[in-house]
Amino acid sequence: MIAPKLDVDAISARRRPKAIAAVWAFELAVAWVLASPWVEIVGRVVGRHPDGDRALFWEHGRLLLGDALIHHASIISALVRSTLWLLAAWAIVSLLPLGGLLAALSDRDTSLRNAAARGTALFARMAGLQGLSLVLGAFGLLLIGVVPSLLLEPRTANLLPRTALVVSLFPLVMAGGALAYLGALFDLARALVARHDATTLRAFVAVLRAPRHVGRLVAVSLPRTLASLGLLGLGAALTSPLHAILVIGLVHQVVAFARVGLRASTLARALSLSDELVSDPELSPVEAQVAT
Amino acid sequence: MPECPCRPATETLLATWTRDADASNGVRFCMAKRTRARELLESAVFVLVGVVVGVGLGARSVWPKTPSLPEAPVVTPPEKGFPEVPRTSERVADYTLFAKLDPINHVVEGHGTITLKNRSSAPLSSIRLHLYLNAFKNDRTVFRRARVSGFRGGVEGAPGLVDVKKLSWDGVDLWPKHSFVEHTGEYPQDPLSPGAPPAVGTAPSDETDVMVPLGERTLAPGESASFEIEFHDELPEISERTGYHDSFHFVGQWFPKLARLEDDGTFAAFPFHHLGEFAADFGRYDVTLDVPATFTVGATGARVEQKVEGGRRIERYQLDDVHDFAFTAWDRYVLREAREGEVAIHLLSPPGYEAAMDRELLSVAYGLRAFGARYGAYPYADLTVVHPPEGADEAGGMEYPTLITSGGPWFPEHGTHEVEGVTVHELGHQWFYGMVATHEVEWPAGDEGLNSYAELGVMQDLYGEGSAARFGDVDLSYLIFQLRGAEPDFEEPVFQPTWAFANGSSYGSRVYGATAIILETLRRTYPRFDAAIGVYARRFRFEHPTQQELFEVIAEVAGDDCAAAARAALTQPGTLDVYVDSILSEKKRPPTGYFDDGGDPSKRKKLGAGDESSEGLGYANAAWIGRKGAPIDLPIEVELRFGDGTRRREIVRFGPTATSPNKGAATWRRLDVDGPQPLVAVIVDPDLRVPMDRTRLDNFATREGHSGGAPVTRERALAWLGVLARSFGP
Ligand SMILES: [Zn+2]
Repeated sequence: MIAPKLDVDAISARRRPKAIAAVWAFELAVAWVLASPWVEIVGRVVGRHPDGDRALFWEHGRLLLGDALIHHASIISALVRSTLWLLAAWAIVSLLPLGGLLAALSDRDTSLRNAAARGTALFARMAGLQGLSLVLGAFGLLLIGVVPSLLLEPRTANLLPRTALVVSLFPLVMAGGALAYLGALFDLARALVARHDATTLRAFVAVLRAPRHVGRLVAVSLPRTLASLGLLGLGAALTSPLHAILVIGLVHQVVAFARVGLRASTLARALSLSDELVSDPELSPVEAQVAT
Repeated sequence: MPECPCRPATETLLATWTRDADASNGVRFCMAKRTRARELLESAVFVLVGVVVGVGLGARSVWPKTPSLPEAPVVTPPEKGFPEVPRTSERVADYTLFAKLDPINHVVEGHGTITLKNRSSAPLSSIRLHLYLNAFKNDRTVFRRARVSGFRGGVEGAPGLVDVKKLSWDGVDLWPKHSFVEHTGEYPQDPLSPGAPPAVGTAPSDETDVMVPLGERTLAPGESASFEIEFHDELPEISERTGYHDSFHFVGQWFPKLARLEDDGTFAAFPFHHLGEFAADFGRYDVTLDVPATFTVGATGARVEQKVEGGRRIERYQLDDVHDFAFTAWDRYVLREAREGEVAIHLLSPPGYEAAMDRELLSVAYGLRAFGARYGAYPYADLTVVHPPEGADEAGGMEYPTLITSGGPWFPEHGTHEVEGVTVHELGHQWFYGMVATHEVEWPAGDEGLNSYAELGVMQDLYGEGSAARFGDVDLSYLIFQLRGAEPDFEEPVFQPTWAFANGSSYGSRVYGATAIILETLRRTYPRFDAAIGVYARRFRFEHPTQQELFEVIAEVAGDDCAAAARAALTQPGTLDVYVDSILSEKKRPPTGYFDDGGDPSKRKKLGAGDESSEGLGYANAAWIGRKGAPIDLPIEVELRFGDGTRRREIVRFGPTATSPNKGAATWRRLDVDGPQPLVAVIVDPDLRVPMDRTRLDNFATREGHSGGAPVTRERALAWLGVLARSFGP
């Protein structure tokens, strides 16, 4: 199934604010679900304080927070565990909005209904790529990062601790680079699947053979990732005053929206790069389509 | 980029890629220069946003600054002022020692003179010595077989021992007559060392406590005796504060040491116990150390001589009015010298630990000011701070006279203060252990507990109430760490002997955390409490005070009420929890029912609802405040909040109070606070004057409809879990 596609020069995250907003809303809903048990528990523990949970973040509240950590440690660890399980489930479900976002960026049809349908249709292949990326990512991290780092560690005993740290971190930094490359590689594969209806395997093989395209996507995605982290830092720094909690909440959500936008921008570039890749008969995973 | 054969993209700035559909070989793409430039610009902006905003703001919010060195705290003296401190101790046990370290075989060869002055009222026919290194001799010693976990001393490396070669008095060798005091389970009521059989064959079960008869002679009261001694140490792999790790050596508890002589002529002797520390008499130490020339030395006291000859470094250290001597030698030390007032500070650390040294220096410099102001000026000329290398952590966090060991990571920790905490703690021991030399085995809280309290005070001075750990706006107070530490395994008394504690973690929680929290409670509740500790530390400088003497000083300076609370909290089992059970607030109604005027049924009146207006009657308000746990009586402040936003404070006491001890201890009190406004909320101990309260989560109550809910948590959780959702999302 191939929906009518946008011209390549019309692909742009900025032209699809509705899709970005939908993904942001999706994530907000997920966060709401994840947050609910925490809010419930905190509400029960300190909600009856006349100042509510603001008391937890006060000068004197620090002890209250400590009491909560000390006396409710088992509840907190249960909450952490359930939150992690829910996040794992979300990692799978999130492939639906991922497919939908790619479709919305690539297709002429701007309706969210179309995006949802396409997201559902793409789910299996997105899942295939996700599985591959997890396996390769873990493998890369171990092989390039963790194992060399562990092998280096005993050899650093006589170095200055700072030098030793740099030496043993070096493989992890390399692994980080490899992961960035893998991330771009799979984004390009996703684009091939969403825009050119490539199969999981063909898309994967095609991007493996197109390091130049992947490299160009990395050049686009890295600055966006950095900016996204910067926005995250901005959000983290903005936490007080407590009485302006609504305003702060709003700022945090604007940051969240912008971060989805940055991600969409990278995906848009992956989609346009996928056209270029397909045009190269040497690399294309979908010859039949290009021949016509 | 391939050559661009097609037309430049001019239609739109947003069109990055153009498509040339009529090319016969399919579709060709190229990038227009303009859009390429734009893309670069965009990327640059993104990088800038990332680095500047992210690092600048995000990191700043979790990285507190290191404070500059503050002035000494302002200390409120007691009404009669602080007493003068004595200049010298009564010198009972003097040591002149020569020690040669062989760092390859980890051996110390020692010899010298020990002089004992019989300060007791009885003639001595024998002496008791501690051979602490023998605790590491085999796995059947009291130290190794004690069923204690949850505290330091877990490392089981190569064994260590001390062999005495000679102990002579006026040319007569007394050592052949020595006997080890057996500790096969009958050791003072020790439940932790159940009757283990003698180790192997006829080997003694423990060789840390030795009795040496003086032969035909006795040592009369007031007389002194000098004993010539020779001994051979084999150091253990670092364990329980002493030993080696590669070429690093920390040499503590290394020489035969006289047990403390009591007034009645007995010796305060005991085997080396896993949780126990030491007890010794004050004296003069004159120790000459002989190590390879490539090694750097740190030691108790002041270096008075040094020379290098024959590939050996020989350094002589002297110090009066102390009760122990330890040294360290390593060929990789970095040495930094500094001064604080009259005190020369020597910092020794592994290479690359400059950041830790900075914080250690700040900690001891401020510590000298603050402890000095509160507990009397530091009387010695030197202070050495040792940061053991990685792998030798067991040597860290220990106190010897004028020599302390710190610990913690080499990098500047942001958000926590591990290095500062341990350094301040060990420095505090110069007062509580060093100068106020309580019996550390019989009364471990006497040094560790009082010192944890003193440490808490200095850490709060330095970093405010918060900032023990700071991550974003979650800012945990230093007190929380003590509170966490104080959470009991068992509700044992705080003031009891080392060997009476259930296990290592119970010992740790009661002796360190709980004492600090209880004393901090007294400080926040009674204005003169810290001054009382100040008087105690000055009056008993160079002495060996008891619990009783501590309580007497508290009563004298801070009052009987404070002393009674201290005694109750420190000497009996149990903890304290104050809480609010419930509140009541009802609009007062006019009277209803039958009312007989003058008690005469014939003059009965029936009043019904609505007969009179309830206007102006106000509210019936009450709050029930409870106390659980041990009957410890403290003035507990309660904040009452009313419907119009007004607040009022009341003091609640549960008794028994020092002034009316026979009234008994109540478990609840009701506060009746009728008035024109409804009572909407109650907070017990709003200013945190009672940190020893087990939990503050039950310290508040609100009337229906007046609770604050959890809006901050909702917002924070949405934001941070949203970040996680983003990370796991599309
Ligand atoms: Zn200590």
